[in-house]
Amino acid sequence: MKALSRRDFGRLAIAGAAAAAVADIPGYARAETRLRYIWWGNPDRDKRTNAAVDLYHKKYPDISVDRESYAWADYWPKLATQAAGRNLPDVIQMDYRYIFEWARRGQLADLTPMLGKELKLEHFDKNQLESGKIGGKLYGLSMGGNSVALVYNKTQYDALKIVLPDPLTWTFDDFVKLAKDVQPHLPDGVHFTANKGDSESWLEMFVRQRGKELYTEDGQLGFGLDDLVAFWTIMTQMQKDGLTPPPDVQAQDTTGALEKTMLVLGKAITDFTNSNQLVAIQKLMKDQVDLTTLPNQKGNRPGQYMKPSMFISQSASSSQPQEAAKLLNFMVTDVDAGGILQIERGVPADSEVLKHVEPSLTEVEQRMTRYLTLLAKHVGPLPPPPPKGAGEIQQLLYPAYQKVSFGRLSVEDGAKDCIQRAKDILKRA
Amino acid sequence: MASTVGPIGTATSGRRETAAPEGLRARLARSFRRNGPGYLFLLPWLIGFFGLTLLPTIGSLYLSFTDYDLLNPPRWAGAANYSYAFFEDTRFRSALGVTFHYVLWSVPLKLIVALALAMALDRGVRGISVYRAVFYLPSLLGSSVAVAVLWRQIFGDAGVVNQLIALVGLKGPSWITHPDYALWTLIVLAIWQFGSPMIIFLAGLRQIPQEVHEAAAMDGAGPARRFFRITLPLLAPVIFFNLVLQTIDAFKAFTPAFIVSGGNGSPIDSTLFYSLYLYIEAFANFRMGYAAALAWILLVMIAIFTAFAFLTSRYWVYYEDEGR
Amino acid sequence: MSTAAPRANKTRRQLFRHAILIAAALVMIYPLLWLISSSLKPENLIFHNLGLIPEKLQLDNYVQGWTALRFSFGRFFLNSFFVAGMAVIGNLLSCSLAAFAFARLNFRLKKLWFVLMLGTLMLPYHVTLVPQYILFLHLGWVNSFLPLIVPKFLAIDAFFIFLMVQFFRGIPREIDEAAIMDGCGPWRIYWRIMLPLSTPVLATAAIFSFIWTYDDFLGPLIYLNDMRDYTVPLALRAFVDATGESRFGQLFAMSTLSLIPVFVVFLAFQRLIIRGVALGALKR
Repeated sequence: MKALSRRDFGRLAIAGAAAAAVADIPGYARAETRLRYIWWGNPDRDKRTNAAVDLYHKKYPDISVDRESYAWADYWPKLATQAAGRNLPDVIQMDYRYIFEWARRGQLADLTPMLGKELKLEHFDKNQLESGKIGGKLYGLSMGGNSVALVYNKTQYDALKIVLPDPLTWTFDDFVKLAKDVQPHLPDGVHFTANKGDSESWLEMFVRQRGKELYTEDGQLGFGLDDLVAFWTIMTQMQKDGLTPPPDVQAQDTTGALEKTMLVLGKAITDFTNSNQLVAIQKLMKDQVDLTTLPNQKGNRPGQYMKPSMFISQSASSSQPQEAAKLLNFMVTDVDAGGILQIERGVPADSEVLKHVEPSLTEVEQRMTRYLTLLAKHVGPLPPPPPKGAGEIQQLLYPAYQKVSFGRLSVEDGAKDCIQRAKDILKRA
Repeated sequence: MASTVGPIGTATSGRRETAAPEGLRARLARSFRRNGPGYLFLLPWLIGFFGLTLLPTIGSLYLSFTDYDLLNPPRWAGAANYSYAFFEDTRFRSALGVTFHYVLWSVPLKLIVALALAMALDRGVRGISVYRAVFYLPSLLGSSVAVAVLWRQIFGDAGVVNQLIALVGLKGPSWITHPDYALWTLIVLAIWQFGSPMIIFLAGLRQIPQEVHEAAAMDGAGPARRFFRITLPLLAPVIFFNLVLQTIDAFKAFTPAFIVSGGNGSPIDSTLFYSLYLYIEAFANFRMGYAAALAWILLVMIAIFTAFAFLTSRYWVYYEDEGR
Repeated sequence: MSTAAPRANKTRRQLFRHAILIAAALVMIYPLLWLISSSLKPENLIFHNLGLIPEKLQLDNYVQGWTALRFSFGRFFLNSFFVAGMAVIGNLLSCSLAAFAFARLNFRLKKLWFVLMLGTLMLPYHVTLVPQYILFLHLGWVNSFLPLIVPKFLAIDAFFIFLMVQFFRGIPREIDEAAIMDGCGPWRIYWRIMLPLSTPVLATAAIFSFIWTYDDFLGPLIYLNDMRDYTVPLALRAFVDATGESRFGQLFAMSTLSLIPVFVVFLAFQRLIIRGVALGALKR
């Protein structure tokens, strides 16, 4: 056989490339039901979700699901672009900060008609179910319960013989005192805690501990200047005392990427996170990590709450609503799917799934459920749904707090500036 | 040599048309014959100009007076966008400040380095094409994402720069996430790409005849004198060209800021380039009307700058064919 | 100026000049060399030694990085080459057509169109960005390659029109006249005479077209939603923002790869590029 001439090779290469490209053109293969499913995540979540969806395809071979996943920061602009192009995917992952805005804009399907039919939610936790409702209509199914938490480097804590006070009653004073005691024993460049004054979630817990809310029922700011000042004073004082990394190092953590947090970067042994992210964080670290509650304030009013980590929703413009609803149902009630997804998105709301998943939980995951069980004793009610602009305000906190942490503004001036800008955002929204 | 054939389409015959009035049809036919080819050739550009440039420009002017979030039809808002930008939007002011800062530092520095190296390369240095390639390369790769990524790592907390500094026993901050330095890392990035203006300076320097320099040297002018009295003035047109082009480019910079700062102008909006702010308002916050207003403000700024540059150029740029 | 040993002075000046040039060249190229060498190091050594010579040479980063995202980089390169290739064709065709009209044909309002064409050079893209996006949205072209390619077939890059006009003007009209004597119409002249004679400027336009489109980030960013269609710059950014284990080595490997096409084009056409820049810029 003659060896391939250069021309033959060229032709083959072009043909091969063309074939590869063509094979990927959607719709080129056999006609079947195609759904589109979009979510935000991390590599671990992507792997699990893809596996779960593959399982769905195995169970229903004539339904195939096209998937898209993005980082948190990109997800919302992408989604909005698709909405504007009347091109939303059938199945959409939603966040508590945004779901009601999307529902109000008519972009999400009301799932109530499907209850009992495509959606078999007899075992679904009632509270979690309610959290997806607004105006009596159901717009999303909770994919798991979680809450915020302090995440810490257990290996280091043990090595330094740190004993955490009672998680249900410890205060900010305890927190700061602990930091002061431990800091001298930490190596150069490592600090006790990350400086999370820019965290909208922590701020929310903080003001709730003072009897207020982040937003009121009618969409205004629910807290005042003195609340923000109190929060930032504690944080900046810790920074001044050298208990947190310097602001320029901390500024690396502004996109929500887990690998850029102070804990994972090794700059601090305590950080702030959502409980369901424990698994992903552990994957990034050699040392063992664990969760504990946020410190409390005077009066010990609970600030945290059990929230749906995220929802799975359906677009109002989906061309195959029944099929989409079936996929939704699968993702939150199918025990095999639950076995794959486990608790990476939080504790499953469906009791059957939870029962199925519990025995096979890894050690890391058990730490998560242990935390949530403990926390359940000290939580407050779900806050009112966030107004439009909540997402923008979450982003606002980063530069607003940085002005203070970098010393450009005093705490009072910085807080005044921040609140003014937040009010502007709400006004413009 | 007289030509009886002008540019194609205007073939003049020797005779003059006699007085018989032409009918409309004949006139149209003649017009088509005369202008037809030109317009046919120009057709793609015309479609593009009207559809992709003129109409969008007018459209954007209209949008700048509305509130538009893509999901609902535009709502007339009068001059609200403009007044918000000028009187209330502190982020707008930050973006302007950052961009001006960037332009004011990166353009002159870039041009100075470009000129210096062009002069060093001018005298038939051995291996000139190697040097030229090496100096031009960063320009070529410049706004690629790869380089922005690289920059982020070099100037990051654990990056190369800090490692170098550590060798001398100092501890550097995290440059790209420090509000005082983050913009400077981008300015350095811009200067790094001096290759393009350098090539143009080289070409300009080539056009200065060697004899002029030699004559001046014989008259006893030292290198510095020669530079300021001869080279610079003769290079003025080229400098002007580079200055205008680079400034306009700097105003439009987007990719470096987007990649290096993670797309949100951090820290504290110190890398919030004007283009980045526009992008965020348009595609992250879906305030398309406001973004259009921002675009028009930028257009006016660039127009003012260009006009200013052209007007003042009369005083310092002399073209060869104008005599002194 | 002393006349003693002028030759020694000259050599000293030459050496000095070379020293500066070499130092500058090293500074210029060091970041890129560091990028390449880091891509060849195992992950944990990248930030630990500054040396350019990797202690352990390995191609792992390339192999793993290639398939690290949801699609392989092969797909991203194909997308990039497709879009850039189409852009080159589109630009060469439409811009040369327009340039021919401006340089060689006469028609009413020609001056007006010419001035407007030059004006578009000054227009910042921001002004047309949002309405163009809305236009493409209504056409249903968002999330496809069309918004990136079709404008190139409509001579959107006035810079190339300008470059070509300058070049065409330099071709003697006698050639055209001879062709007209032979009965050639404008199209024939354009296709059979002008274009073949314009290889240098066409090549320059093609090269820059390719490089600029290949490097274009904002266009793909707003028009390509599906990762399947990503061009290389978008894919690289996905790499940067991916939450996961630190994968700097892979990131550098893929960045290095992404620079290769541009680099190759540059090496092959260095002279042309530089001549093209100089010609276009300085011809008055």
